Amino acid sequence: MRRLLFLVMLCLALLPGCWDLRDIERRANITAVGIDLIPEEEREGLTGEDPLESKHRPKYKMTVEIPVLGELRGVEGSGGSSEGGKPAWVLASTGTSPAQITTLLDLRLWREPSFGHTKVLVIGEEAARESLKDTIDFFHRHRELSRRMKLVIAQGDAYHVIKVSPEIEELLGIYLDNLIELVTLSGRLQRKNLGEAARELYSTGNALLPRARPEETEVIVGGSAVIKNWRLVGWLGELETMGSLFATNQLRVGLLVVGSPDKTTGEVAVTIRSSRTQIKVLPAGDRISFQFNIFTEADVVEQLGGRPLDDPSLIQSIEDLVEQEIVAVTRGALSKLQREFRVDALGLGDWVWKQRPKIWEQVKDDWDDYHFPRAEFQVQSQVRIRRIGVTS
Amino acid sequence: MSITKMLRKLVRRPKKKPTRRGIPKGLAAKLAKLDKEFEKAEDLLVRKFAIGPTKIPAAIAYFKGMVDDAVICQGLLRNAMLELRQVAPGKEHDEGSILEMVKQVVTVAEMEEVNKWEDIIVHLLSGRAILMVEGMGPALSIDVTGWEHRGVEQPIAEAVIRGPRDSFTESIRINITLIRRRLRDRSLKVEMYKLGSRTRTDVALMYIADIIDPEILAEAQKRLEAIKLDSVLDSGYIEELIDDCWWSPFSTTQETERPDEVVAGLLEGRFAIVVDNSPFVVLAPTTINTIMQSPEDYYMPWMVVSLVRLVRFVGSFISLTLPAVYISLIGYHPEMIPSRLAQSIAVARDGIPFPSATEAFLLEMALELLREAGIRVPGPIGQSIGIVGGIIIGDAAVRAGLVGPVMVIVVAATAISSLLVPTYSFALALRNLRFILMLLASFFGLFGVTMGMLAILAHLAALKSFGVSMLSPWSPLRVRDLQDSLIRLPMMALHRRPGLFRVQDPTRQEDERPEGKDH
Repeated sequence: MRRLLFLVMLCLALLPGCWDLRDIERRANITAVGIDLIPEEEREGLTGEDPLESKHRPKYKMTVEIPVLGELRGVEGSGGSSEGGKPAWVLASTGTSPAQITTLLDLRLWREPSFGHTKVLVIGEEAARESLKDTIDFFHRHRELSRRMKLVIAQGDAYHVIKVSPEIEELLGIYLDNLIELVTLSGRLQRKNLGEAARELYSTGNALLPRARPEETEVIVGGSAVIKNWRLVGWLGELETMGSLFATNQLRVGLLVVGSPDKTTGEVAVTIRSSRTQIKVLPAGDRISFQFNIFTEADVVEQLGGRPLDDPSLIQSIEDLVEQEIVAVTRGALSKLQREFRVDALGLGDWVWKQRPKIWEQVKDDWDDYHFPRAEFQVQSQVRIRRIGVTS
Repeated sequence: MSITKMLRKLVRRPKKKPTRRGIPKGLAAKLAKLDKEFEKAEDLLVRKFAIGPTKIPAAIAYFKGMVDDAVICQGLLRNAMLELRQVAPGKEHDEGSILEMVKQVVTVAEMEEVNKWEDIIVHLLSGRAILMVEGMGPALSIDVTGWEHRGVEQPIAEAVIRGPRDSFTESIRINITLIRRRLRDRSLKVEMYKLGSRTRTDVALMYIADIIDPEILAEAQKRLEAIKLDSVLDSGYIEELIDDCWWSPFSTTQETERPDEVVAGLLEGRFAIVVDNSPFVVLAPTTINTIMQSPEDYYMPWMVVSLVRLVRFVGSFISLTLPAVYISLIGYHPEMIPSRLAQSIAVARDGIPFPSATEAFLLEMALELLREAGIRVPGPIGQSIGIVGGIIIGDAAVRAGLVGPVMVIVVAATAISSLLVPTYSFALALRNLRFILMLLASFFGLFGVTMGMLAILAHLAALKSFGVSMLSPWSPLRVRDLQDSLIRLPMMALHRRPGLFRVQDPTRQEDERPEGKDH
């Protein structure tokens, strides 16, 4: 009996043969992935010489960034060559789907591709317009991928975003990840990771996703992509994105510029220290009315021209101006979504469901097509200026 | 228990010749018999002389080197030869009276009449002097033992900054004294055993009679009496023979070279086994909690100590798991490492010819080699070997690209952490288990490490030391005893002894708070 047990243990120890064992430096750690749709007219030329494959025409182009370990800064003596080779290898590959392309990367990579440290998934504009669902399905399913991976929609091709080699950071994936993570001042970005985006998308098909624009040696984020029923339908500008954040109680910091309080020339800039939005859903006849009460605390950080702010009434008027600005910004975002795109990308339907479940039962079936476009928005703002700085 | 009685117990060893032989009357016959008994034992010294005014032939026999020569000369020979002459002549040939007279004049504290030949042998071998007189059956066994031994020195294995600096030596007498000097309690008991049928090593079982649980004590006595070995050369023999579980990597006893730790243990209701010729005293029952305590913990402010204790637990956990976790993370789950760190590790490991598991085993083996070499070679050279091996070879191996620098850090951190464990035998057990965990990690990754840790935990939970669970006071949970475990409460709060040793007298400090009131 004991001998048998020993034998079983021995088999357990030796037979599996460590099939998952692959040391970290022997994996090709993909740090960033970009997906583009290949334009219809270009697909023909990409069909290979293999007649068996002719019916599977390549549809997607996937761009991956893989760190070149020998070129990365690292421990002295074991890497970081001074010749200044490229620290990342950007590799574009075509295929019928992200899964197929990933598998076929096997033929081009000298190491096993690994998504364990993938930081960013960039979806090209055209791919997003075609179907976001097809694009992210593979990544959402993949067991290695972290749900905290950032998801951004590129304005233009994802390839160009991945291709950017940032000045300051060696790897684009880490650069973009930190860039999005550390947007702490402007309040002009809808920050979403794959898990959050998928949760919204799988429940309604609508979402606002962060936008990225490639430049020569950098990527600029800000603004949002409006996703309606899994498809990209348009963009929100940066200030509009701020409005959408106000409306959904997500805005914590940000900068607003308002006119001079004493009606002279010049402007006053205030930063938002904290902001809180209460959303109330009220029935208004056969329409639904949303009431947004935004409570904001802000500091004056800059005054261009104008009188010194030693008069409380001036502070009062700054508060009024900021209130008006917040209302305008929020209204702007809401009406654009409502009128232009006719999509509840902010998940306002959830608020109806939470606060008025009975009404939600009646409206949920044609919420997107009928009730949301007819909904009424009342935005109220209350601003307190807490500090005006240390200037005397 | 008289020494004779105790010694007689020993003579149970099977012998070629019958044990009960009388002592011949004539001195010449006695000496001849002694000579036959100790043939070729040339360190046996026999000095013949005459006592009393009537010059009765007598002789003393002892082993050179085992006795104190000054006592032999001044206390014994001088008195027996010179003083007895001045005694008025009387009925010298009366057996009783002459021995009485010798007893009167010999100025040695302990002596005893022996009536059996076998006892004479045993006493001689224990370092006593035997005085034999012509025509007399009984002999006189005089305690003149005194051999060269090391003085009380600083502890080597359990050094502390604050606290007493004395440690046990090889002499059981000194060791018992070191304990009794600290514990002037009439209930401190010392039970002597002679273990080892050939070495006849003195072993003392010490306990405080009105604190220790009688069941634990009975168990200890039972296990000591069951020892049937021919030799006991160190307390390690005893430790292994009275262990609860022979296949466990953990010892269910604890060794210490510090008298203050032994006294603290006795006061907690544990017993101590002092073994002659060994500077290490065995303490039991033992729990993981007592293993992780250092005597210094009670000499320093309690807040500091609580932090140090936490560090110690973390350290022992690191020393057990760090290489295994590293192997698993590198080989199986790199996605669990933060990206920046993963990047640095990958860069550092790039180009290393071995998989992480092989690398870890290589370095750990190298470390074990160095450690063993450092212990074997004499002091100063040992240190230089540590430096040469650790720094120079380690650095060279990294530069040559044989091992990664991160692995060197991991192995070094592990080695340092293992030094945090105050009890050496426990550190050794952790070292053994570390290799098993590394093996599991290289086959199964974190899954294997988790399984290994669970197995260790299950084993510890089942393991008992003299009836006390090794994991107490955590499992079974004894909330009151947690006062002195991961943290140590201030002395003012330690009103009771740890209950896990089932003490008879639980009060350690009078609680002056009014009865029945909640704290």
